[in-house]
Amino acid sequence: MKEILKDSFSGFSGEYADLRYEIRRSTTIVFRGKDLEKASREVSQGGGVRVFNAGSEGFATFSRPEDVKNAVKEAERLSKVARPEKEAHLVSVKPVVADFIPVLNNDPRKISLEEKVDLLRRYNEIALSGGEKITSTTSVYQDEEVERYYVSTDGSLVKEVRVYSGIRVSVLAADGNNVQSGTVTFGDQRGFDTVLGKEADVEKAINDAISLLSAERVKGGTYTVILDPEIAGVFIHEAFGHLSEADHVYRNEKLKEIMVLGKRFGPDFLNVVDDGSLKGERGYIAIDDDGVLPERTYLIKDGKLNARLHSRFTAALMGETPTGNSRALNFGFIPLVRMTNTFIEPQDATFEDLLEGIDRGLYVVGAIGGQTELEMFTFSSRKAYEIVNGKIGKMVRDVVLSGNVFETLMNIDKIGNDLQLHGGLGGCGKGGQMPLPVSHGGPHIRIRNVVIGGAR
Amino acid sequence: MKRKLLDILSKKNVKKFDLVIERENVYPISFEQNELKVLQNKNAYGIGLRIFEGGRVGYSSTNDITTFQDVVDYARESAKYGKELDLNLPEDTEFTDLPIYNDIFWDEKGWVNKGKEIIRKIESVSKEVKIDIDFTKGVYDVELLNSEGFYGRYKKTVYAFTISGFAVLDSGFTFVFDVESSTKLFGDIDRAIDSILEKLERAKTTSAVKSGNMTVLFSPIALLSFVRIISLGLDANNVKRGISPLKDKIGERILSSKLTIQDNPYDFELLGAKPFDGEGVKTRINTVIENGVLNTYLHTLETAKYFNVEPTGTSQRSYNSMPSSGFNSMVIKSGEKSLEEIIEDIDYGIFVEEVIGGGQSNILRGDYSVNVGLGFLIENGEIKGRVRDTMIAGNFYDDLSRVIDISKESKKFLNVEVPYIAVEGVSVTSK
Repeated sequence: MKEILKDSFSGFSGEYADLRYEIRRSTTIVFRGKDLEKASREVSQGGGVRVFNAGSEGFATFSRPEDVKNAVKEAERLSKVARPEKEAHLVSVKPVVADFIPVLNNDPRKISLEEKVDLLRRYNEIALSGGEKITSTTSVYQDEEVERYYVSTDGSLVKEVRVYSGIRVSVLAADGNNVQSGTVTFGDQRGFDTVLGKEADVEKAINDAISLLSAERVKGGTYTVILDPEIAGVFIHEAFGHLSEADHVYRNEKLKEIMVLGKRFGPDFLNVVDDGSLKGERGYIAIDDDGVLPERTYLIKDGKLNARLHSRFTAALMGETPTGNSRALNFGFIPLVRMTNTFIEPQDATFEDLLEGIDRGLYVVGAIGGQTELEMFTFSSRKAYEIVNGKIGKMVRDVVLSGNVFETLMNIDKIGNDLQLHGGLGGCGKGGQMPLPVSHGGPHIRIRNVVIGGAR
Repeated sequence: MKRKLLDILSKKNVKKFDLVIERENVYPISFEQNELKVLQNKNAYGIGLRIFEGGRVGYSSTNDITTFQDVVDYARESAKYGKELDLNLPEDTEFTDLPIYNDIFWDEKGWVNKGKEIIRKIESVSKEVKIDIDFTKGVYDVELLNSEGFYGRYKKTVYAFTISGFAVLDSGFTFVFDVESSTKLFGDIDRAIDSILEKLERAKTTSAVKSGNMTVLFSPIALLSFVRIISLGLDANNVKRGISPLKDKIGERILSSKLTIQDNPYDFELLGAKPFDGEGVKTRINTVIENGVLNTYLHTLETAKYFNVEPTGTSQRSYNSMPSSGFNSMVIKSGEKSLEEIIEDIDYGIFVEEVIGGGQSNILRGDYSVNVGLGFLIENGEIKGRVRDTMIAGNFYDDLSRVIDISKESKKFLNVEVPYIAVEGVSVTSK
């Protein structure tokens, strides 16, 4: 394949072009309740060519490798339809010529569909046997091999293989019209071992669903909260990670004033990292879709804004360095500035330290999701517990946290010592590209004055 | 292509199947932060095969016809594990062509110039705002055939104009969004621009809102974040699984009698228009909820068989998914009062234009808890400043039984037509 693609740009005389070609082979298994709804293998393949011309971009897709020349011509034509008002060029980087092949703990591609179905059936049966309140389940296994090629007019020529695998088991419990769920999910690029031995986690999901049936809705108000590592990760991804993406900032003078490097964003002990080079994590990439190698980027260091996430285009416009964060969902999309593995670095506090001194608060566990409009964000939890006088109390449900990122980061007052990263089966959405594989995490953290919606 | 695929299926001795073939060509032209960003030409096709063998169903898909032989084997393998299912697939059916294919010349230079003109116009009013614009033309070609003699094909065009503005104002970061779309060339771009400018102007001042239960007026764009709740509840598969709050409610009043909700695949401005559904059932207008009373769920062939009812023509399917039920195009019928009159009648409440975080609570139950991304205080019948740090929470089914007004104005976009809806007694929490 590399041989077919490597001459794609012979005769191309424009400013810059690159292409991605991917062959994707996936397995999806879904149980709903006791029924195996789907156990299927699918293939897809295709490519996309991107041409830059003075800052204007043309992008064309193609299906078969032999059609690449036509796509190059079409992308070049599209890049020349019009020019932007202000000329811009990509930052140049050192070309990469390499093959990146992962080392896996138990290669999911070598495991039969039957074995995968049996594994998921076992988890699903545990989930269904959780008692009479359990009305249904949704259990999903998914793996995907992405064999990808990257070629650029800079001279980059890369083959990379990514192998994702993961499971999600959701347990639904009902009491009359009250339906509650408990969910566990695991997923990364380490191999099939990631999805093995999760029986005890499925039991926890059953307990969550049943306990939530009798939990009360949280009362709306302002609380001191302790976030567990999973939801701390969603918080830092939503509240701060997206704001760090330079494509929101690069032409907005007012936002640039707010996002000045060196400005204080949080307490001294707050460090926030995005690191695409963490092998095996769900957000790991060997190379980004601009041909840039990933790196560890300190977005916040010692409480101060230290760097932001860039593509070669945004880095050029802001006079900064590319960080390896230009990523497309697949060959059919243009790359955007995206996160990889984003987390808060751990500090010294134990869980007891975090509880200390909270008269009325919430311990918030697990994440359903989150959304941001850069300044204001929301994220929602799977479950939460009241904290009264420094002690964990009864479970409450429907805890959705919301706030202003600038205030909320400053309100982080303690950071725990127990970093965990979460991948799972979902991903991040931006510009209609979802779900992009990412991971996020942190240790337990404590934040003051967080608004929680709910009845009063 | 059709013949080649049928030959392979016949050689492999597949007796009962259905097959969907999709082709799409999409041409987006995008501006980012007031500058031209990218012109694209994206084409794709895909083939999805579902087979019924040994009393079970199997499935696979590809986007490369040369691998179709493997796809048949994969589908067969999948049927070994698949759920027990046998369906009466539709036989040869007559369809009338719908006027949903309008292949108009896509004037790339013209749209680039239009984009630049819009940005200049907005810049002349608001220096702070940065605008993203997408003009998109999509051409879709769908073929569906099965072993029982059904063959259907339709072509559809989709034209969409989306505009979003982002400004750092004294009142805080402000996002505004609007969209115009149709199977014909998008209509009123100027209306969308005026609406963006109006929201930006209103967002310049802030007003404090007191926490408590109050009337909330939802805009059509805000309601888009909630309509999925209704779709999930009406999905007959969720009813069958016992997890829909609407189970056992046929014939009962479930929402305010002011509400009538239809699935209407025959409104050609809405993008869900189509002559037959993902399993070959002729589409029809379904009045799902009439004056608050639940008439029917939305079915696939499988759930229609299970509940022993007529199929509703609401099976949604793309080449790489199994059929699932949902609205083709969802229409919430508009009311009689104008938006202005509704606002005049509100003593104290908020007008919610856009929300952050929709769909992330227990949406099966209908619960929601969202931040008011863009919303304004209403006091003594007048719109005041923007509310900040404010969340609304509740249960959407409960809310829709406390509807006080529905506007006569409605907005058609994507595959929904939605009016403004005012609900009393919504819980609002503000810092």
